[in-house]
Amino acid sequence: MTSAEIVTSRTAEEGRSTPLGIWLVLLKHHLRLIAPSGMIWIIGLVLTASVVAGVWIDTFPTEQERLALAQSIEGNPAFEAMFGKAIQIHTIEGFTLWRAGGPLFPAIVIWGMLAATRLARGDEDRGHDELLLGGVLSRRALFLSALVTPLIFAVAYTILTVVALMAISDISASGAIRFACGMAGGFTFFAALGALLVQLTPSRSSAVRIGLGVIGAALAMRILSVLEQMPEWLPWLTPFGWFTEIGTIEVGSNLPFLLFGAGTLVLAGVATTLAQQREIHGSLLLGDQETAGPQPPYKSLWWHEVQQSRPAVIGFSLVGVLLTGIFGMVANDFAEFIVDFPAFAAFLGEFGLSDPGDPSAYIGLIITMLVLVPALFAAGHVAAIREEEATGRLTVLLILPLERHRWLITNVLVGLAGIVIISLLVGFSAMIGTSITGTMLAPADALSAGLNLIPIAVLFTGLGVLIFGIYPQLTGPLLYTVLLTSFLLVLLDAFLDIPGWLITLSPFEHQPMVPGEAANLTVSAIFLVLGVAGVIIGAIAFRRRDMMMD
Amino acid sequence: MAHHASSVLEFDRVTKRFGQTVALDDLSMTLQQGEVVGLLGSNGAGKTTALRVLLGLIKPTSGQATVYGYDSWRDPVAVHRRLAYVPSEFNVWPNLTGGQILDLLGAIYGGYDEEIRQHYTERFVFDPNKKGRTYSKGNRQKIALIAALMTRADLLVMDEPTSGLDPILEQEFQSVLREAKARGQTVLLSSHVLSEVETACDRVAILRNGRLVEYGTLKELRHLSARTVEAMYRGTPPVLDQVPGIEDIEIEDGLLRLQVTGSTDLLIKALATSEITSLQVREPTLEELFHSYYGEEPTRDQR
Repeated sequence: MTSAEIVTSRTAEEGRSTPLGIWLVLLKHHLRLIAPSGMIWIIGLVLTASVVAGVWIDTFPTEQERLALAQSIEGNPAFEAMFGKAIQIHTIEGFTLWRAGGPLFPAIVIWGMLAATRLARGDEDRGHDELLLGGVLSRRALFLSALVTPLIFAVAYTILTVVALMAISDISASGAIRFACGMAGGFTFFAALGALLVQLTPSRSSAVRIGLGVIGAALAMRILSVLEQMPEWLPWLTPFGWFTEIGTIEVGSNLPFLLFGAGTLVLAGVATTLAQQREIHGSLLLGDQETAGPQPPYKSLWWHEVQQSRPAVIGFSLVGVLLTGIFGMVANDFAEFIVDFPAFAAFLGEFGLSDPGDPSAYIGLIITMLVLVPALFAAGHVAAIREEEATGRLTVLLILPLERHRWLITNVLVGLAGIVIISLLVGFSAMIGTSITGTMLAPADALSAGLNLIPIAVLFTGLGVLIFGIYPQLTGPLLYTVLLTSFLLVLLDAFLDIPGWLITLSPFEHQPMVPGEAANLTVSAIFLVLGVAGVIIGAIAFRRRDMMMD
Repeated sequence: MAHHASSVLEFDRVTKRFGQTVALDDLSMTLQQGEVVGLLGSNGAGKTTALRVLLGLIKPTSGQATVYGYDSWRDPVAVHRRLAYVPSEFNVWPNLTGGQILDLLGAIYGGYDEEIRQHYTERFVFDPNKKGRTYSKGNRQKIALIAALMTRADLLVMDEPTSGLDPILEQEFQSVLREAKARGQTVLLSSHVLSEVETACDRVAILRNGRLVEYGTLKELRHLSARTVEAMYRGTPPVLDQVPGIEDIEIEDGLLRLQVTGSTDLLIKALATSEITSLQVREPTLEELFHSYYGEEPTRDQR
């Protein structure tokens, strides 16, 4: 029988799946959509938490040292601002929740937001959902699959984390489960919030912007809640506070689990209801105006690129200013604490802090950590350059009398301007933060701290442009991987015996903690030279290669 | 510099490979000033690759494409000063209005006549005040068309320019093409709409599996191709055994239908041996010509 005869001999009913079968295919499709990035997130999160818990015994081998640590940290706003409220950190359960959960909780909620918005709106924005909804699939089934998929990842993350923590450390089962469930609770809560936001906004990108704003505000509230003058109920207002209240099974609270569960269910329920009322490509709250009215003219490439980069510059600046400002406010508490606990100063020496008793040294450490803000901005900017090519928008510009290198250099210079603005604002917000508590950082030191962040961001810009010129499809994934891996290496080096040659490869290892330390002009010059060389070689390679769209 | 000083555009033995795939295979063709040339071919025939080579967006593996004597790959900016391009898919910036996108493209081109832009904006019934993300495919295509036409470039390169446009605007596009030709603009038009090409183009190039299988005026192509002959007869059918160049003979109820290539002299003499009541000789349409080039062997996509 020929294929044409087969087609004519079969009825439309033959080969049809059951509704459940169709839904399972859809679920598999959704799982596949976020599986690559999901696996990277899970591995990174599980590995980092396991390392923190695994080295606890070596770092604090005696009960006396653990109690000294707890006495010095618990209630100290400087440390609680960094990692959250410290509860029973003389136990491995309390320490893991505080030390690993502090930086990892914001990371996992960002992942939840990105994953849910990708699933619930990404395909729709790309026009793929019409194909699915044009068949027998209902909008409800499609949306439920998008909601269930993050839940599957949350379960996988929880199981892997519990197993890894218990295999690598002496943590109790209850401690491992409380940590993993708290993290997974934050993930599902913000995933549900993301699924709700895409119903209210006209696109995934708008939902992500608002979602990241909510996460930033919640984090800021958690940081502010450790200040003495703040009311005790303040942490309970946000999921970031709920997570820190989990504590241990002896002293902590179980209410956060209930709040995470109930909050997720309520948000997911509202999102599901709204999803059925919203038109495809529509928005229930923030619509695109049909007519935008008079708009400023776009009279040059420069103006265009500045306008395109402006939201990212503002967003990264706000995050940097907020975090540095708040940490600046608690710098004095840190200095007073460290004078009383010289043993802890030695512990912090593992991070490279030379004189922890000096508030400016603490600011130096914080700003060095916050170098991620301009560095991530730089990576995002270069990834956006690739996005222009991948979507074909660049083709429309490059068939005009515009040299490829001119377009690229214009973009790079706009990105560099953004890096300078963000870096200087980070430096000066530390000065403002410290001035509130009476230990003002000198303007010259603030300027120096800000300027010190620029070379490393330039270095990552250069690396990104180099990848873009040679292998454009890898620009975002490779650049982010190198950036985050090299940062993680330096963080983990405080706990692990990482080979020296490997640590030396990380640019963050060479970053001086200005203003606690003097700026290292040689390092800065090397970063700048390498960054500029990367841009030049990348630009040449870009000129010589074919345009590559997705 | 180009090999033919008078030609606007020239592909000189251009080959483009993507790994093992040969997207363009030794393509050679030229366009003269003021010509409207249609580029035809099935999906994957190499039309878009040819245009991307011409625009300097991809580098030919061998050979050279030139526009007004400038090498497309080595000197793309000089090429782009003389041409305007309409892509088949135009992804706009979602946060810019249509007007801002036209501002930007016009500014980078080096300026344009505001009144001409306004003319085409009204003619294509385009609202420039909406955000990019709200435009339909047809409206996005209008931006590309207006941006290209407002420049008054010497050469218009269009890749399926009417995709997404409604039938009324498709017709409007036809008259825009005629006006462009009357002004002396040269047009290279890649299209799947054969009627559009048949109406507007002076010459037609047919690509198949990356190779140029035919290039000429419609008259030349028709001359080389078989014509359809239909004759009504009474009595016995004519004897055609000795007539060269005929094929697909069908005889049914006093109607004879066949295809003839080359001279019809011997055919007419053979028909005259019977009692012919009516005779019709019809030249092939572009669609028939196109199918004749694609009916012989499977294309790359069909394999």
